[in-house]
Amino acid sequence: METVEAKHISYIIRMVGGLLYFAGAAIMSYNLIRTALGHGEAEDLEPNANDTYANPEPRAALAPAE
Amino acid sequence: MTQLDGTIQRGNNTSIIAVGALTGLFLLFALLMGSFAKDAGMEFQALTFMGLAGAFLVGTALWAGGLVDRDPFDESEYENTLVKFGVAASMFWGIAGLLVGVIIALQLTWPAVFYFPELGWTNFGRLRPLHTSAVIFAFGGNVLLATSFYVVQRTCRTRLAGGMWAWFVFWGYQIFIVLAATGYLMGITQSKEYAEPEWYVDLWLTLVWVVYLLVFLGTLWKRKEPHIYVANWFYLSFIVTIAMLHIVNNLSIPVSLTGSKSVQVFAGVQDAMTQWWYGHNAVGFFLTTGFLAIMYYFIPKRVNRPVYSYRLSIVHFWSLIFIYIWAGPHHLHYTALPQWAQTLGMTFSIMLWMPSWGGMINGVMTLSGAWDKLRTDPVVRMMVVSLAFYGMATFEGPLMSVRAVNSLSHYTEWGIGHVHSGALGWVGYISFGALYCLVPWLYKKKGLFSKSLVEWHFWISTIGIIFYMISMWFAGIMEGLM
Repeated sequence: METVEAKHISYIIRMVGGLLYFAGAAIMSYNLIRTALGHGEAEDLEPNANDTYANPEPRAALAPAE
Repeated sequence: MTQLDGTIQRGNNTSIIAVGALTGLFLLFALLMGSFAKDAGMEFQALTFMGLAGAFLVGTALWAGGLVDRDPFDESEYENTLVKFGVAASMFWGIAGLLVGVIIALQLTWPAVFYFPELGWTNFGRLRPLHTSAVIFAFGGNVLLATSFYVVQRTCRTRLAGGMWAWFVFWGYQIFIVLAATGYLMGITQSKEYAEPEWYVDLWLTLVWVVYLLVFLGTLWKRKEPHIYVANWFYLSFIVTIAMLHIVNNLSIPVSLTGSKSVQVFAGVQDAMTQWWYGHNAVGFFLTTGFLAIMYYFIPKRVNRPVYSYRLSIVHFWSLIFIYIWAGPHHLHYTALPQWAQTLGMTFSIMLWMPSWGGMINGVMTLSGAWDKLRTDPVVRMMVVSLAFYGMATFEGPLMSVRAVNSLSHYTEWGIGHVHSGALGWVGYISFGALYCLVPWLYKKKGLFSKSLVEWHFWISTIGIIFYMISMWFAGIMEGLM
């Protein structure tokens, strides 16, 4: 009982810490949803035809060094 | 097999029928178990399963019939839609799990105010496993699913293997989460920490997990890149070891095939040892190797630098997985577990310090030549701070595993603080970093909606973690001394 009373202030601080962390995650969700919708600085990227890494390697099998 | 670029390459279409048949079979099981249910909990769980798996089956059928405007198995493209679903699920479960965490923190702080005896499901004892499972398995698990499916495709330069089976893994895992969570609220539990779901949910997860392993291995098998990048080794160790831990720790005999209760195979100290072998390796292989895999892909990608030392990554990988598996007994100091087994667990826990810091050093030093990004890119800062928390938690952990320290720290708030510095700082931040990277990449955007909101997120949650850690150190050490 004494222990529980002694921990009360710590518990309040912990709860505030948890609330701040939760608020951070909520901000992230908002930011990511707006990003997916393409708002703000999240402008569409021009598809780069020269980017060979944008799609899977078309070769069918592993080839020895050529 | 090989076709010219631009033409659609049809992948594995038969997987739709196989997935549909398997889901149908389990729907039949659920119907039988629900009809002959021995308890109300089982009936509700069976109905929940039938609703969710039925929705998945209808979705699969619509897709197979081509009613959704998309070729599901085009081998010339990566599977991005599934990763997008994974990102959305991670965000949803993350918010839910953290919210339940805040609620139970309120309950502990003002037990008289947040106690509703007429609503049994709001009891701390039921909400606490809901919080732990939601943040670890629902949030963490979905982050790992989404990132592993993203990373393995990019590093192997091939589309996910198995066609519809990867979707079965994703939806099957969500069904597992819902069954586990609603079960906890109804009081269905086998009372093993982090392994509370009952036998039928465990069996379902086993099936989903084996399919996950096969999809991952299949993708590695058909890779177009000769080398298997180190992140895939970390993911693989996570998938394989979690399967082993899950199966052994959940060995139980159901009281009835249509009832929700089961009896553990192990008893007494053997059960305690199995439980903590599982419990500590859930930390080691779910919350460490899986998230180190994220670190090994997303930090080098984001800062556009090679991994600091590829050799170190291999050395610390093998030493980490070899040592972690022995560390469990440190949870059972001063118990009926033989002294030598406790000492063995403690010794391996101390040895674990080095491979853990190997990962931290490798991640942080990857920024060599790009240190300015710490200042300019809050996402990079978040991921580097996650490594700092990883280093702190993996130093604190071995310290707390020493028997003399443990006599003070065990059964106090210090343990809660330690877990949260690792969970909020390391797992949370590296996951947030990965999600901040993934969304613009998946949706092909130049950047995030707002960089300043990332700054806000970073600072608010860093202050939150520090509040959490310090208050729990204070409470725990005081409690240990009292």
